[in-house]
Amino acid sequence: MSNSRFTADMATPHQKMEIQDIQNSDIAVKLLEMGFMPGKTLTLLYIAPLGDPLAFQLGDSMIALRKKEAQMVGVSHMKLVVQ
Amino acid sequence: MSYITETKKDLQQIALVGVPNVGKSTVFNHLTGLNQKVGNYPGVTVDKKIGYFKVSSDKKIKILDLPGTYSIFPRSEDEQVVFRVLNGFEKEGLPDAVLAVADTVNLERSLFFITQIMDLGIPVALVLNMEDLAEAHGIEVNTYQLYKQLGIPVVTSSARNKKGINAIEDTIRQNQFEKAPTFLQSGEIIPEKLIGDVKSLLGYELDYQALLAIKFVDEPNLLPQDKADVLKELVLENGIDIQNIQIQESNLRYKKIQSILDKCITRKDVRKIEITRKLDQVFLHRVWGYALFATLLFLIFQAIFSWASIPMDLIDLFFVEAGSKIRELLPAGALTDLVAEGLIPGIGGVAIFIPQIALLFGFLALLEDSGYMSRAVFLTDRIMRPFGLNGKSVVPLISGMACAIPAIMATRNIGNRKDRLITILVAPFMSCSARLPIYIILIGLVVPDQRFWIFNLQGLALMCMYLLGIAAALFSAVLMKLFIKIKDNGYLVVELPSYRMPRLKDVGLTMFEKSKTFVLEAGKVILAISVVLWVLASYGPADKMEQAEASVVLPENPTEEAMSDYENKVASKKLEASYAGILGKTIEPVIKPLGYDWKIGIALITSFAAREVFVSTIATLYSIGDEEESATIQDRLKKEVNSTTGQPVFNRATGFSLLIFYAFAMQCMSTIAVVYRETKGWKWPLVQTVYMTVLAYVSALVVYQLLS
Repeated sequence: MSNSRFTADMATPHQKMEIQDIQNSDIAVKLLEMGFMPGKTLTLLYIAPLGDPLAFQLGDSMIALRKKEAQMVGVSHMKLVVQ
Repeated sequence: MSYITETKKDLQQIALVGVPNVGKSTVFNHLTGLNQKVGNYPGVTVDKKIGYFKVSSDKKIKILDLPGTYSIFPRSEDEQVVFRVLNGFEKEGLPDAVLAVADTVNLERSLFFITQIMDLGIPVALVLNMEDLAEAHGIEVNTYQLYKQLGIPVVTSSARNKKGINAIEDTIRQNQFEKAPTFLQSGEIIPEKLIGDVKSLLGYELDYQALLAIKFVDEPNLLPQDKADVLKELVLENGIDIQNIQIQESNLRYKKIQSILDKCITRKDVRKIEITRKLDQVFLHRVWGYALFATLLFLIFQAIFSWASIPMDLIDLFFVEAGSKIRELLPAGALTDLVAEGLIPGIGGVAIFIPQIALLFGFLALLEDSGYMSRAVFLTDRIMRPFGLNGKSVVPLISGMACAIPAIMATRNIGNRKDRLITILVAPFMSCSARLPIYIILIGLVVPDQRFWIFNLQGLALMCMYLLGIAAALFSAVLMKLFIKIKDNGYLVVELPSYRMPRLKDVGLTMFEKSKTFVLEAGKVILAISVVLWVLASYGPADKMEQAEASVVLPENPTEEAMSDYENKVASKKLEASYAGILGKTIEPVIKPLGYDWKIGIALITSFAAREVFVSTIATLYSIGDEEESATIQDRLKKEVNSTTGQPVFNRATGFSLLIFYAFAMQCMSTIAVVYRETKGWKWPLVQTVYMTVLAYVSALVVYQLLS
């Protein structure tokens, strides 16, 4: 991708990311309320068998988002965390 | 500050609030037990759950269990209800206090919502629930520090293990609720001047009340029209973007909560026993996950299809016995007829659904309580989305293959209003168990009992009818998605909570409460329609009815066989002469293009009570006696010849036409009643009935014309 923006849907399982921003959209309000705040650590845990939705670890909870919504979550440059 | 010295108001009603999955219902059930009832909020489909907590032998406090939401923002009906109640817009006025239940593991998100309520100036007490889970996560909360930071009393509990319930009860008994100092300065978000203007316009004391009023400015029917107009004007003048202020508020509130929690929470690095993670490896697996989900669906289907039939038969038997007992006890006459044949079977017709409703809701409560339900959504969301539905529609739709009544009630769990409505509207297309007797008779008539390769043709036809139901439901869902205009926030942001052992008490209470609500609310409509239908089928113009009875010759040799034959013939003639018979003849021109005669017309009318009534009506009309085996009815129907054409009435074309008609037509007053109850109005049940009837008519017409 020529675009340098990374979003949460691009992660591979077990990848840790830091939330940078939430793109302004209708669901931004909802994501922020659920605690998707810039600075928080996000880990992709599971991808549903049909590729969508995605389940993320956020703080102490697990939250499922559709791909479309995960694209609203801008994340820092991803590093693969070897467990 | 004045709030310290203020004398406390005597507690009359408390609102119980919290974000979803914090164990709020468990707290509610502990406090109120069976002292619960379900009511309605005007204008919305959200149930109003009320319970009573016994303070002493002569004092009870009303507890209002508000729907679980993550925030107060105009988005769903749940949030509207929370807003209305906490702003005193409901008829009971403002609650005297709020008991806020928080998840100790995820305190941040819980406090986001709870600090919003604190800013509304209602006295609050905070319950830190799920303490046991927090401990397992190595999370320790300094409750004293939290109390000092928030300014409201804090108790800890683990409601599932009954720990801390006493502390919650004491908080209520001793009225330890406190008004919190302002948590978030609304002036950081919107201009002070605007806050002042809104406060004086609406007579509010607190800044946050003004901010909330602004957020809900576009919601109808909250404020008197003149004030609403002024408020709109103010919002416009100040160039307020509601979404934007909510985003700002979220940022500020979370920052402040984080800084407080940094002081109050210590985390130990425990070796987490991640049961949830381990289970999800299997439950969300691409093969095992679906296999398990399919097994669960199959189990639920089995339960409401076959296990429920045992208590249902008993209920049926009971009401039949009760009817004949009443007949023996009361003097013969019209009133006795009404009670024994109209009312009692009508009540029986309501009670018969209880086993299916209780069983389905037992399963749903187990799935919801254990945390599995949102996994099912996760697995099926992608599959259901092309049809305009989401993962939560799967369980109600599959349940619809047993009975649409519990299935439609189960749509309560679908948060999205549009998805829920569509699921309600299409669920009756799923082949319910009441269609089975009709399918079996009709298929027996028109499909030869032969083998095709390894398949029995009749079995294959039956399977096709089930597939047809599913196809009709999905097709209609797509269609309705296009036509139903409801503001659709089509997103899926769903928490996958940690797995927990379900609590049987909560499950039992859900089963009880759902059955009760059905009987009390949908039951009265069902009863009313069934009495009307009974009157139509039992009475007719007096002279016609007498003629009908007289037209049958009393057998000269009154053997048992001859007498029963005589009675069957009388019943047949009487039904023909009844109002239902007249109606059946009246609609004959309309149904003739579908290949039906007036006898089928009568059966269409009476089977509006419930589809399976078709079989017994047909049996009565052909003087078979409605106790006979279906094979007998089939034989009799095969012999039936149209008097004008000399052709069999139940030929292939008519048979298939009827099959299609019953697959699509509403033909179930209980479904209409329950849709009325679940959508809180007559609009949607009417739309649905018209849609289904038109679809049934047109499809049956096409089938008949093609085959004849």
